[in-house]
Amino acid sequence: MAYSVVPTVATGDVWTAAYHNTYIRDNFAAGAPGLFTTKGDLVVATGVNAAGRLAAGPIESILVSDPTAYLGMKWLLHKRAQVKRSTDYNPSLTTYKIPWETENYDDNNFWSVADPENLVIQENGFYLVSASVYLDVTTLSNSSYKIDLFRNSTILATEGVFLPNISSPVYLSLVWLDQFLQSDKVSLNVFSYNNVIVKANIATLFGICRWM
Amino acid sequence: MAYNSTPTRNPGDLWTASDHNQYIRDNFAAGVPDIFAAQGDLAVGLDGKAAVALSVGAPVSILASDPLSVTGMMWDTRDIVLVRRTTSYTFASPNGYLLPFENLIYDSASHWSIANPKNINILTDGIYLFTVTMSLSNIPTSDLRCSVVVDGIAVCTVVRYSYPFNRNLNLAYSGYFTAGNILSVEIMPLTYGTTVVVDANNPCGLALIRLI
Repeated sequence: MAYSVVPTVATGDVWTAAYHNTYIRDNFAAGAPGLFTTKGDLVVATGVNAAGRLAAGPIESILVSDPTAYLGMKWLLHKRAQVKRSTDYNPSLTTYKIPWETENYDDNNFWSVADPENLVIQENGFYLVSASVYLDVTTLSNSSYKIDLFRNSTILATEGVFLPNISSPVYLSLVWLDQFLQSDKVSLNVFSYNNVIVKANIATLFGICRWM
Repeated sequence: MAYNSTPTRNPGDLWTASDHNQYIRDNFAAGVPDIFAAQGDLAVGLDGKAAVALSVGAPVSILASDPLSVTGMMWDTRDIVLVRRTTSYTFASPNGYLLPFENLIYDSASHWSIANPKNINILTDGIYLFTVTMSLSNIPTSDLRCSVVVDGIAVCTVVRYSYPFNRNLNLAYSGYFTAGNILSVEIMPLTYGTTVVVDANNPCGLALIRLI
């Protein structure tokens, strides 16, 4: 029902049934709580003297402005995923993308076993990406070890160390914030001059969380 | 129009034109949707039985409580900055050098400008997360230090020791900053006479977001 501004009346004026329906019945229906249907509903303007109903978002979501939305705002969920290796990975190359095996959590279909190297962005937004890798060094020689964060074929961030002639484990971690588009593929590349094994361990994880 | 609590009436009581104007016309004018002026307005209580429209915030803002504002809440724009270098940058020791960025990927406000490329200007008090990444080369004789500095004071530092390969680094830090703070990235070779190249063949950038 559309809202109509209630007219001023003076003594002697007639208040008809049609007036009642337009200015009392319809106006109640066009406002709060007339618009509410469900717990958590908010009333939001759709324009001058006009309101719409915004249903509550999913648990843990936050209310954000969005000029492209019908009501100018939306509920945004910090969608997230984290994947890991559940078995050691022994690559044959010195440069390779880690194929992930298991989800710790994933609430937006970021990862699938059919595309194990990539976290696939489902919605445009700003995401925080974190990676941690535990490498077991299997040969003794001077070497650098690094991880590169990719968006499709572009490196976004990098982290590395050089270690002289040791066989100790190597731990690398990386955090990066960036703007991603729907269908972007996010992956983690490992590089070493040495033979290394990516260990299945709580220190080998790849995660993503949407912030805005 | 102010809202007035509608009085109880009994059989035989008169409902005057004045009653209509005060309790029907004015009360509708004081509520939803009459107080709405534009898409995205939210109805918010001012105090007892008084409502006002809160205009929707700028893009990338969230609704947050704010006891200091008239309505008790505000649309809080999330400060976000993404800047990068796309060409190599060379400098010599012994001084620390503030890294000039070249390309603005995203800026939610005027945090960075090409006219002042070394500085990220903090515009709002809050807790920020920032991440830095780069790759450094041609520094065969020196250890190297990379710091995030706020108003000239390092708040977070990583060191890469001397070795003859590119040194990749990633740095992440979260802290409370206030409006007016200036944030920069400083690189300092620790041996006199060393030349440092920030390698544009690898990613070099800074990303920052205000968390709360």
